[in-house]
Amino acid sequence: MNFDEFEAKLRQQPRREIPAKWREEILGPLRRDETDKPAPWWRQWLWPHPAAWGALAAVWVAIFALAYAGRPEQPIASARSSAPDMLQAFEERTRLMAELSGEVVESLPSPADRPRSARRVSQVVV
Amino acid sequence: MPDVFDLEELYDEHVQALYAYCLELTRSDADTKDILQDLFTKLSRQLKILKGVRNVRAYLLRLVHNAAIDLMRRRGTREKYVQEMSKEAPQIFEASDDTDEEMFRWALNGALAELPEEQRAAVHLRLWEGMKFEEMADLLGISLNTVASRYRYAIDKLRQRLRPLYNEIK
Repeated sequence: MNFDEFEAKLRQQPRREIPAKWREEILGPLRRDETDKPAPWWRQWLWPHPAAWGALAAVWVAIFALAYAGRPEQPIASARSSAPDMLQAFEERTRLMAELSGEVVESLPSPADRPRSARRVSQVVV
Repeated sequence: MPDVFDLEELYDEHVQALYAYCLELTRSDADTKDILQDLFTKLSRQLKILKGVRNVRAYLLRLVHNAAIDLMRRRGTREKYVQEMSKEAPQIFEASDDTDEEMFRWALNGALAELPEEQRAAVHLRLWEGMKFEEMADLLGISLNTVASRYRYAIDKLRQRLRPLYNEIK
């Protein structure tokens, strides 16, 4: 960058410094804004007694843990019905319905008495 | 080019240049302070706008330039004249103990104040920010030829106005 003598003379003239107090006047309110930012809603809600809320949460956790630990074991196997029992109950119900409606139902041999090839047909209503 | 900007660091690094440029354009301490306050308030809300900016100083100078021009346009002509009549242009240079230097600075201050804003901007960016014409054109959003001619016109006017004093104290 080439400057002539006159331009160089102008360049040498020192510009006035910014007043030092402006730094605080400009940045101070911005710093306060930063600290005055509202807390998130959950913190505002918890804020009055954070220890009390924390203790309450711990009590709930303890209650759930105890309730889970003291739960009786479910007899899973007994809850399941076997297929022959279900079939028998179904036939019983069919016969009952037929009796109620006045129809005659031929008693069917139990599946165990039938030949193997006929065991799949479970009912015949006449 | 940092990814994270600290407002106070930005202030310390650039505010002197922004202050000098803004004062050059507005010729008012109060307006300069308002503009800088507004600028730093905006920056505090969205410092991320500086992310990816190659030349932060030039970018901030452009923001100040736009704010100063907006302010001056918003002001009515009448208000401007009342203001100019009511007070002298503020001294934009440091005071000097040397009488000749002080006189030269006082005269230069007055001569700069008489230039149109766009010429003042060109002279300031070239002489006191040490910018190249390309950078100035980019900052001011005008062509290279325009910025160069604005600078030349301004320097010629200053030379003409200050020549007697300059020759005397040289």
